[in-house]
Amino acid sequence: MTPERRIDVPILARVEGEGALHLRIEGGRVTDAHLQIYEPPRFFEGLLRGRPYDDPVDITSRICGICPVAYQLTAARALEAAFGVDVDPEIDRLRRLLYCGEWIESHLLHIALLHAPDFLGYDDGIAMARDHRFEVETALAVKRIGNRIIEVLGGRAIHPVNVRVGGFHRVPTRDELAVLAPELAWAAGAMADLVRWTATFSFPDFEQTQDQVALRDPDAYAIERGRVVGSDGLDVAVGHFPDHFVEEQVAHSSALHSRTVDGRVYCVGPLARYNLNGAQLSAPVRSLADEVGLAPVCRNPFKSIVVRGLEALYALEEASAIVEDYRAPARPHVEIRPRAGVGHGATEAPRGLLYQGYEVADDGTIVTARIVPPTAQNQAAMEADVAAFAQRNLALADEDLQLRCEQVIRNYDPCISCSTHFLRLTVDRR
Amino acid sequence: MNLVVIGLGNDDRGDDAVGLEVARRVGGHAHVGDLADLALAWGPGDRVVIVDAVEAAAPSGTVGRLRPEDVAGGRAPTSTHGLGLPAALALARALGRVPASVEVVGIVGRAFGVGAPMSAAVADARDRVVVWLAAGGGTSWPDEGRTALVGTGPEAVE
Repeated sequence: MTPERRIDVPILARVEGEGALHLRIEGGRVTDAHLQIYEPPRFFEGLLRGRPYDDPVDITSRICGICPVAYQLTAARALEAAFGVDVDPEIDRLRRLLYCGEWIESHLLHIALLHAPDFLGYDDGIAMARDHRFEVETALAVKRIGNRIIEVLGGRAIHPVNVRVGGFHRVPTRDELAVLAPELAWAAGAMADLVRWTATFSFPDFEQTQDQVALRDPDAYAIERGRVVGSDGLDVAVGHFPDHFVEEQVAHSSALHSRTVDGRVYCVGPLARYNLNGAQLSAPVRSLADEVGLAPVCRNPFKSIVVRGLEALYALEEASAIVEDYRAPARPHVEIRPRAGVGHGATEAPRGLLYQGYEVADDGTIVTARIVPPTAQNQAAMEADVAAFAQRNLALADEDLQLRCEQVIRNYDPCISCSTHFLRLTVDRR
Repeated sequence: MNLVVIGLGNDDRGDDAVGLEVARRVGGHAHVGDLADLALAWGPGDRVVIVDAVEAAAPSGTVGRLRPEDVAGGRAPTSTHGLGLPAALALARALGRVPASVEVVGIVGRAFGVGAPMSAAVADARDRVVVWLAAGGGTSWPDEGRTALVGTGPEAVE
């Protein structure tokens, strides 16, 4: 039997939050891969109980500083469903614009500062920036446009304050949005070049096998709404999400693990969206995917950096079109009349499908709340990827294996702050 | 030399808005949000003055000139949630956007509650700093002669 080998990594950088990864290899077989999240639970669902219906939009946005829009719009959508309210189509377009801002901001941050250093052999984004100034500076400039969208439409760049159940507190004037147009026009070309840059990276040969789940919107590449669809053929309304996916407590993590009701591991995120809905991307984005050699179905999670770039380009195009067509809607929000009920909402956060469900009393008080963030859904998939990748690459020296396993985790752009934080890695070879 | 004033803070947290208000009043850059793209706010050779509220063992409204390395959060970031000012400056240097100088003007605050009004002492400090910056932010420091703030440099004054 191979003698026991153990590798300890004090901190894995470039993920949002803190946690640890433990890998055990016995007799040439990976017997355990545990993503340990030891961040204390944050009890958001508990603190929402007993609060008025208009609190979750702003309280859930505090779950994450990177994707507050996702939490806000998902909460709003769930509560609107509980009250039987449909928002005006013009408001839906503005919400999509706000969400595009968040995709741009989050994806560019991950591409340029968190993920690209893995492929180019740097410890961090700052070290990489010395040798790749043009690309990093371009990425930051594109990212800034995402911030600007959120600032103009949401009231401020982080934890925006303009979203409410039923719409917005205030809608922008046409002139206020029009200032974004020139920057958006510039950014599309710059983003396409960044995608070409990421496509030159060397990607390990690896394919994941688990099911993939995303929203699907018949009208467009799903971002702010849609039905829940899966690579296994699942296609249900968001209200049935709790019927098909369950969360379970595991001993090694303070965040819940999600699985399908019949126990299968699944994943959400850019690759799932691309594989399930890629045909709905714009012709230029699909053409660029083709140009850089990305097949219509991609199962290699390392290539998620390319997919994020394509999604950012799509978000820039969408934002540009919404800004160009914009006419201030007649009303910023529809009136809300609280009633007792249950509502479900789901949107595509940058890291994947985000679900929220609320039970509301007749005066609008929140009775129960349930929040299922994308990173919690991806935990089991991350462990499965680490186990499968390590098994195929046992010949690698400990240092290289460790680096690659960290990269496998970063492929998911995990937001451990959302699911509750990451990462110390232990490899135990026996 | 081009003077670039950058204000940091939170408009909704009382004294924490002081940096943003200073920047707006002198036509500077009020930066709300993460600091990853802060480097794009200036060019090589600029003189950069960053204004922010600080907590220190000194009376509210005390104004100090600090070196960036004196600002907390100097360790390398492990995530973007922790990207502080020193890391943002390191990223700027890596990108070749090396300013001629960077100084941090820290204004001591106490009232940081959500929705809190800015305290009178901090509002007064804001006005002194605005006057100083409007005059070019020269060597004639508005609070010249007062006691040292946190001992971080010869120009830290109360």
